[in-house]
Amino acid sequence: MAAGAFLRRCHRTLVDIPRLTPQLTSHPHHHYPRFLTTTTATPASTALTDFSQPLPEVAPRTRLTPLSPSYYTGSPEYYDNLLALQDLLRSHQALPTIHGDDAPGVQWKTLEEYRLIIGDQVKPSRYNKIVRILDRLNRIDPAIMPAETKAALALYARPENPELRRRAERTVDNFGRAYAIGRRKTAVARVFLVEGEGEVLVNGLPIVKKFSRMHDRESVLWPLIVSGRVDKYNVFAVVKGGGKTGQAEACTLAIARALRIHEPALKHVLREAGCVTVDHRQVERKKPGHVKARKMPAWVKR
Amino acid sequence: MVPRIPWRCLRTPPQVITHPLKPRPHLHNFTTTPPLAAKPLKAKGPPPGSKMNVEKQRSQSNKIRIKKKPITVQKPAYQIGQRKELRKRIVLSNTNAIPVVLPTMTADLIGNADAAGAMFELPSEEGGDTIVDRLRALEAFQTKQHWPFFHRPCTLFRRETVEVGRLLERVMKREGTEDGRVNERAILHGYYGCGRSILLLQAMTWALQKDWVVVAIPNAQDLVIGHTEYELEGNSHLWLQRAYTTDLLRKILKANQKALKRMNLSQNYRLGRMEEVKKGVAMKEVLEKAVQDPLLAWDAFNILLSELGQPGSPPALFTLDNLNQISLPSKYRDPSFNLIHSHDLALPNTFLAYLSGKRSFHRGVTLAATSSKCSRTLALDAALEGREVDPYERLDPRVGPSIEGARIIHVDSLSKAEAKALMDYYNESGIMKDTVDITTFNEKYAVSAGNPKDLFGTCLRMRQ
Repeated sequence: MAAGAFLRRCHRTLVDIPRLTPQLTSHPHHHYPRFLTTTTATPASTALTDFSQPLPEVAPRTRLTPLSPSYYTGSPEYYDNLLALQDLLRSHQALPTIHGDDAPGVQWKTLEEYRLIIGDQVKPSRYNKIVRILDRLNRIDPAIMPAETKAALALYARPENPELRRRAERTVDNFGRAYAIGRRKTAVARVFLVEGEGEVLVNGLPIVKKFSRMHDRESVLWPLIVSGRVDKYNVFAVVKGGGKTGQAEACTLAIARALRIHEPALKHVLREAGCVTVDHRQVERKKPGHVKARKMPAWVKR
Repeated sequence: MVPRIPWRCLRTPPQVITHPLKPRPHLHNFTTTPPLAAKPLKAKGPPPGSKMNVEKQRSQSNKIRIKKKPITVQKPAYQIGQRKELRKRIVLSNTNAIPVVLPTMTADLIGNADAAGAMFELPSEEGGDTIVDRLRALEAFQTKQHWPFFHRPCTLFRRETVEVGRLLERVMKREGTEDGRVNERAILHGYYGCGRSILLLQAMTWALQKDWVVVAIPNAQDLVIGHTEYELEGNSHLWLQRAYTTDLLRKILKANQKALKRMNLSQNYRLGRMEEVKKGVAMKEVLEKAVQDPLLAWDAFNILLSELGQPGSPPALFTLDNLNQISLPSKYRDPSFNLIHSHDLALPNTFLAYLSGKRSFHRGVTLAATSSKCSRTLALDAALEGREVDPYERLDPRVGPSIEGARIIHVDSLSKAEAKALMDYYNESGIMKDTVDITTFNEKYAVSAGNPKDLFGTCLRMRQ
């Protein structure tokens, strides 16, 4: 296993460090080593042998001194881990990165698995911080990714399950049509996108008749406008449910998805334009005892 | 005097007694700055450059109402009709806009298909009343048609303009029946903002240049919303709108001076109860007399129409905008408080008689334009589509026959060439800041879907 500074530090912080300086440690139980992965097995007995380290000869300590600077944080294991990762990130900050969409797909360990590593209760929000750093490290250009980082990331990655990763590849059909669905509010849009001269039919009507508001028309065509493909494709959309705005924005999503089937390289452009992310918000239901979803009736004295 | 320093060394610093609510005196416990080099304390309040209004903020924060300054000069109240005048004012030129050199929309372009897809300016070179003034008198220009953005009024020559031109052309060439009677009837129909009223304007421009008699009802809504006085005429059982008719005659008189001066009556007519106009009198004189007296107006209007039906009379163009409005019950009530059907009002009735071919000019074109700013007129929609009406659909039975036989000109979206011409014109006039390249054109054409009204909007709007 490649032993870089990070691993050494992880080893120190997570594997074999007693919480306090050894000569005055009086805890009866010992810290058994925690391994980040099952493969990196270090003998558990090292923890005991470390007690016989020679002490620095500066001055004799008169009180217990924690070894970890995170001792007083409440969950020192977590913070040591976080700080180690931050150090690693800082040292590789300047390396060139690639777009997140192109980064190798990795599934990080679940929160439960991470808790087992740390051996302590970790809040989801704290684990999110770790994941964010890992994602950032994962975006370093794979061609020049340092071995140290690779090894560090491997500690947190889940083993890949090919069954789960298999996803149907969407392609253009025999007639050159790309088909996609988009949803927004309660509207559902089904779109067929073919190469053409820029004609748009929504529910069999010209777009000017279906969406008389210009803003809605702009919404519908937004993926094509931002990618400069307005006159390159014909759109045939069938949209139902919802109102005008919902229908228009459902079309946006569907057209963007269909466009990505034709030209997968447009993903970044479309994401920047906000055409990839699904807006899953729905109207909140009305509750009994409320006037609306949240509104309560006014207080009346009697 | 005893120096203070030794005392200060010996004693504990005195407790500064301060009021608990008042701010404490500013004490610096430690500083490395020598006292003389220290900056003076900042005055409280905003820095001199900020736009914060201290007085205003103080008054707001303390919730103290400060009396406003008494208004010394009161804004004068609007005169009667002043606001309407402001609302209806037509501005046709803008000296700030960049002038664009364009060919004039002359009468020899009538029905010329080659000119389609180009911009033309409305003719102005003429002694005295220009065509633009006469069109203005006919209220052919409307507000919200974006005239005030440009140096001169210009229009786009479209495919539909060619079709309208063909109507005029057929009348001019007398491609009709043997006796020389030619009548063309058409309805301009399309989506909102597709340019139907502008097509009427273009037809009027040509008709005025050719010295036709142009009779234009600029907005049929004025006839049916109950804003003008009305009375029942016994013989025809129609409701006359004398005030409106007088107004209409005034417009006709102003716009068609030349043609009316040349028109002489072919027979004697009664004018009002007492008067009579003799054969040979110029039509202009009749109308001038009628304009003075609303009681004569309806008769004078009828004299004009019947004269236009006589052989030897000049060709006529009869237009009406917002046809939908007269396909609904009007807001007028009869003595038993029933709603009066719009077709029972004399002016709409007359127009529809010409549109459906019951009455006809000797040579003439009757043009109507539908409107999108109207409540639903299912009967008219069915008639315009020409579809079979379900007997269980309770549609107005009078609407269908009223437009029977009229040609329906579908005003479509702009083609790409037309949109390009229009966009170039906007660009040259300085309205559109983007350059017209293939990308912007495609984008704006797609968003507007070729609708001229929306195309203007997209060109004017900055991309956010």
